[in-house]
Amino acid sequence: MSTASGGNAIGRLLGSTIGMKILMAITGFIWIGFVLGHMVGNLQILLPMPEDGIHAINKYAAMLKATGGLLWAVRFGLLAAFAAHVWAAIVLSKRNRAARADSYAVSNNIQAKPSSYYMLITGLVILGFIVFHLAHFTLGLVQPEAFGHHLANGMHDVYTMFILGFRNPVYAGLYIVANVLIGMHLHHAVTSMFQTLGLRTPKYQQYIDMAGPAVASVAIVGNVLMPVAVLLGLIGGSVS
Amino acid sequence: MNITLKVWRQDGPNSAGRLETYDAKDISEHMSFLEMIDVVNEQLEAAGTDPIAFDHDCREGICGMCSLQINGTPHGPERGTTTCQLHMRTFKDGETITIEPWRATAFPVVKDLVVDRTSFDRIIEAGGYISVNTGGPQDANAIPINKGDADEAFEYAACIGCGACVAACKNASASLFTAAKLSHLALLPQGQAERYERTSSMVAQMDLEGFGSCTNQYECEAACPKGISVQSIAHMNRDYIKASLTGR
Ligand code: HEM
Ligand code: FES
Repeated sequence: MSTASGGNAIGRLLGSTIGMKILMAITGFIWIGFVLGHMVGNLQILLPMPEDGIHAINKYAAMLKATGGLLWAVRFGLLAAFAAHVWAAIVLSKRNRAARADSYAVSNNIQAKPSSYYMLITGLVILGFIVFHLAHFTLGLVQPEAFGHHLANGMHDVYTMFILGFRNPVYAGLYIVANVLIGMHLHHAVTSMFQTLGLRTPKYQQYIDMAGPAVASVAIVGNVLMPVAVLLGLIGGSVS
Repeated sequence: MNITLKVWRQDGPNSAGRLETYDAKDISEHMSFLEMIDVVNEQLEAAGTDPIAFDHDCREGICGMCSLQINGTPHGPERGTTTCQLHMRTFKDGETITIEPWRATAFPVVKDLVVDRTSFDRIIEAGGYISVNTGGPQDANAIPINKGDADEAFEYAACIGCGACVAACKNASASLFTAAKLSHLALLPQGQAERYERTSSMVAQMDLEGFGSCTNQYECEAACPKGISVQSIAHMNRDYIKASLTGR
């Protein structure tokens, strides 16, 4: 029996399909952390406007900006993890297609969840959505009239941008659809990640199988709540 | 009972194949699926047509030779059953049944429904054994083994290497087969010495053969005639991580 080919541990891992899946699981895990943290931070939009007119979301945004170098380090780390995830997704998907070059005339699935069949599609939608989202709320290219507002004290007015952004039913609808598809990705992804890392053992299996649907539900409800609340006029009354 | 069959016919590895329709008349519901094909083949031969080539040997569910994708499911609709043990009473009178070979780049079609599964043999050759070069066999029970480990190893040892896992997987991945063979040995004391080298070599061979990667949909587990669990894949992945980190 030959031993694993030389090189370092990372090289050995990436030289195999299992290693590539482990890369996807770890980078996906990082992004699950981001998706949930980003959602909790943004849910502050639902808080009422205080007396002084400086909304919690504006203070939160200023706090993030003030971290300076750290913010850029996190952004760079997220970008690297994302690139690795997408690269592995594309390499493995191509390989999987080649492994079943001739398809069946009749095909049938027994127990695979629907979400698991659309991982590449939901993933590519996430990719497109993230590009749009950055252009919209980070770069201000999509809706310049909503971007670049400032409070009297000079603070960047994220609150106004947020409300104006989602008052537009086209943009709000786009965010709602995209977040449902992100939830669909997570529905399979979170549970799959544990199996890939070898952690889905008999003792924890039933909880791990619930983790995907649970995380997906939380992410969908939390993220969809924000545009819906704006569309229904439940928040943002102070913005004209 | 009367059945309409749509059967994949392909003259050789490099010829184009097609689905052909045959009528299987007066089939007894007590026949096995393979006996039903035997009857159809007799009729085909009587009519001067080439009989349908298919794999079979023991016809009692233990050798792993029989195959067939029956209405889109490996070994047909009955869970935990090989094609040779599947009975015609599972189907309805007048039904149309589509029969195709296992589809995988690593299992090329030889003729009609027969595919070449020697890629599995090469995965085993890469490490699916224990090297014991001297001495006679030890007394049974001389080495104590936990009941839980023994039972789990036994479940994995039930793999007959038929390839239903590959046939069921949308990626034609051989993960369940490779994992069953690896975990079977990794759970037993005799398998420890070569455990991590074995994991690296067999996984490398599995990739080399052109099987796809695992996307954790567990179709393999559902299609396995021996009900082997995807727990084995989690086990393989754990050992693979250890093997890679320690350079074995
Ligand atoms: C918010 C961003 C994303 C998160 C949180 C995320 C998370 C995950 C996780 C945790 C997995 C499971 C890995 C495993 O099975 O071990 C996964 C799988 C996958 N991801 Fe993503 N992902 C994201 C974005 C993307 C993007 C942009 C693509 C684009 C191509 C993508 C494509 C895939 C594919 C194809 C799989 C399936 C892999 C498989 O089943 O083998 N993902 N994702
Ligand atoms: S012919 Fe031996 S298992 Fe079916």
